[in-house]
Amino acid sequence: MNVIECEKLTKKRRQLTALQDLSFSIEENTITGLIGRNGAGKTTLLKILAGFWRPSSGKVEVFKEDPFQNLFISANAIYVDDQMRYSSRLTLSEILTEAERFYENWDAELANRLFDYFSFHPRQAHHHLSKGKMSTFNMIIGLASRCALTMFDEPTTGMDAGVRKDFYRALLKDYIANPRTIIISSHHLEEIEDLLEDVLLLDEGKKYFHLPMDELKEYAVGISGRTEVVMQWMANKEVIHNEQVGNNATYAIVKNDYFSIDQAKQLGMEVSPVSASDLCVHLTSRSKGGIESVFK
Amino acid sequence: MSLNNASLGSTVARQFKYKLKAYNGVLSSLVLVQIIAILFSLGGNGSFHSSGGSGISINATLFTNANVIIFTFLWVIAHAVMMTTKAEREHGFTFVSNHISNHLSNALFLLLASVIAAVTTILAGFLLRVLVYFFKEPAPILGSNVHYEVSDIFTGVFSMTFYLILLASAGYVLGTLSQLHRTLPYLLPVLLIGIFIWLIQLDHSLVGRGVAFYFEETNALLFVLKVTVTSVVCFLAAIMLTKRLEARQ
Amino acid sequence: MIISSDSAKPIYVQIAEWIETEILNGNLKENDKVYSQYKLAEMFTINPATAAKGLNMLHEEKILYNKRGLGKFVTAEARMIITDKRKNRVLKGMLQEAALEAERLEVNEEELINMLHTIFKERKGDTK
Repeated sequence: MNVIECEKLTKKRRQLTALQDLSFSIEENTITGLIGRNGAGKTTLLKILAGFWRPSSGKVEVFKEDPFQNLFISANAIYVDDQMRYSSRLTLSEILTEAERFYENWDAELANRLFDYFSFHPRQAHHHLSKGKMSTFNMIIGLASRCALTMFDEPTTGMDAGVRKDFYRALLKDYIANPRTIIISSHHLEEIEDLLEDVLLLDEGKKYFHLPMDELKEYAVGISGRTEVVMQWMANKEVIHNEQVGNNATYAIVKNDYFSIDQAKQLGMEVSPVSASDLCVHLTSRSKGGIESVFK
Repeated sequence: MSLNNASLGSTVARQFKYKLKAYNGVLSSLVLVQIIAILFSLGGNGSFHSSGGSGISINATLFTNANVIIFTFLWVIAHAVMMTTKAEREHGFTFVSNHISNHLSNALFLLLASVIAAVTTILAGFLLRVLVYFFKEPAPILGSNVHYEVSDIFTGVFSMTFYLILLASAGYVLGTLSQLHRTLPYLLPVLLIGIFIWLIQLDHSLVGRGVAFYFEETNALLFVLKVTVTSVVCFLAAIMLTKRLEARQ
Repeated sequence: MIISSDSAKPIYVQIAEWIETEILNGNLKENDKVYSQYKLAEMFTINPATAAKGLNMLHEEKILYNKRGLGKFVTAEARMIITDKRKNRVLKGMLQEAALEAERLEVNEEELINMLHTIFKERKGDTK
């Protein structure tokens, strides 16, 4: 069953087109990574899915319903970001008690264990927490709510490396125990790629691709060698990125087709894997030369 | 993962309970406002001086809880407007909610706040009497209505509650309206005062009749009906106004 | 084993190879039950679907067999299949790389074979 279906989803905010003709669907009980540069439309998409924002045109369905201001969606889809605000009158433990009243599937035991593990104080106020602590607390709400659709928008903002690792591990363990549909948007694809089943890459509000993680790993390869050899070999290939390295050498990222990779090896070029996160950065970079082209 | 149905009724009930906790500072502010009002009242609300030819001069000072009532009116309007501000609206969407449940739980909270404020206002009137009686020299002459029937207290609380509900609803819908565009919080008061002046110039008695429509209604049932219909219209308007408004901007 | 995201190999291949190594080492024997996709997912902090893909790959290669409702088990031929596969694919690939590097360094065929001989001799010396 598809939990999310979008067709030609477009969202305009003031003069800007935040999302354009976005069509995709997300299957039940999968973990999808929502990847893209700053301003690619990740947050806009998630806020539409959560029912906060209204699409300008196109169709969007979550659990077969229009999500905008829909109580059923609100009860079954949670959106967690670093803008979560609670009344300053409530202490952290009161916020957890309140959340429990609202979410039917709330796992109080998990919430309390995580709360203790990350050494929160029950009487602390949410707005006095540091950035990383706030993200950690919001993550607890997101996990414990056990909503059938759980969306994390840049969940690790401000978290230190240890907490991030703990978060990913907690997310995975809870997902295995209680499968549900999870979407994580992140700039750190390298940190989350092992967790992901699929990747949805956005570029300037448009879908670049929606692929299983494994295919993404084999999507492209890095080639390096003498410039003239590389250039000649690349002539009829899909080049994603290329840059001069040193005097007479070129490094290029090309779309993978197994036949020509063997050929490249035979020609004495070095073939190396391209990490998924590097690949996404290069795919969505505005100019083929990257930042280097600015300094010419 | 199983899907849960959230009915509007249960969601409103949950949000109302959440708001009781979130806004408990509002009720303590009521206490503060009324204490200040009482302190002002201790100076007297009006005085009257007369010296007759017979060498007797009379100095009269009037003590009423009019200050408390006016302060409480202002308090309820201020709070109703505050509830519609962006920051508070965002709090409304923290957990399971939508616009309708948010407005309805706000309405319930304002209703409760109005009842509580009406009770404390009437009680403040008694407190004022007691304070004046014990601390003012010379000992005051109490008004004719020294002996209260329970029904009088009830009538006082009852009518005060409905006045507060009326003002709260008006404040709420105006507050909601002013949230629709960022110029409106400045524009709207100017516009309202402008219209007010224009109406007075147009027809002297118009505004007076408008006020009288609510405040001089002697038939209790009709009064309740007028206020209830007006409030329901105000909240429906607020719901319609925000129907297409986006949350968590 | 640590799953490496930087490796050229997709994670499911790394998982499959890890299970193969467990079989070669004798940690998993004929008719032993192998880890479920969820157990593997938890062990390596990876998506269960990825782990399942690795298990299915081994199933297709007849290294594992299914028992309905019970999970996947090691086949009788598993060791043989894995050894064959590694000989043909992995070892051959390594030798190809070695040959290529030798060409670049202008090491001729004879020299390369001699180097291999030496390595074998050294290893024999180690095991004595």
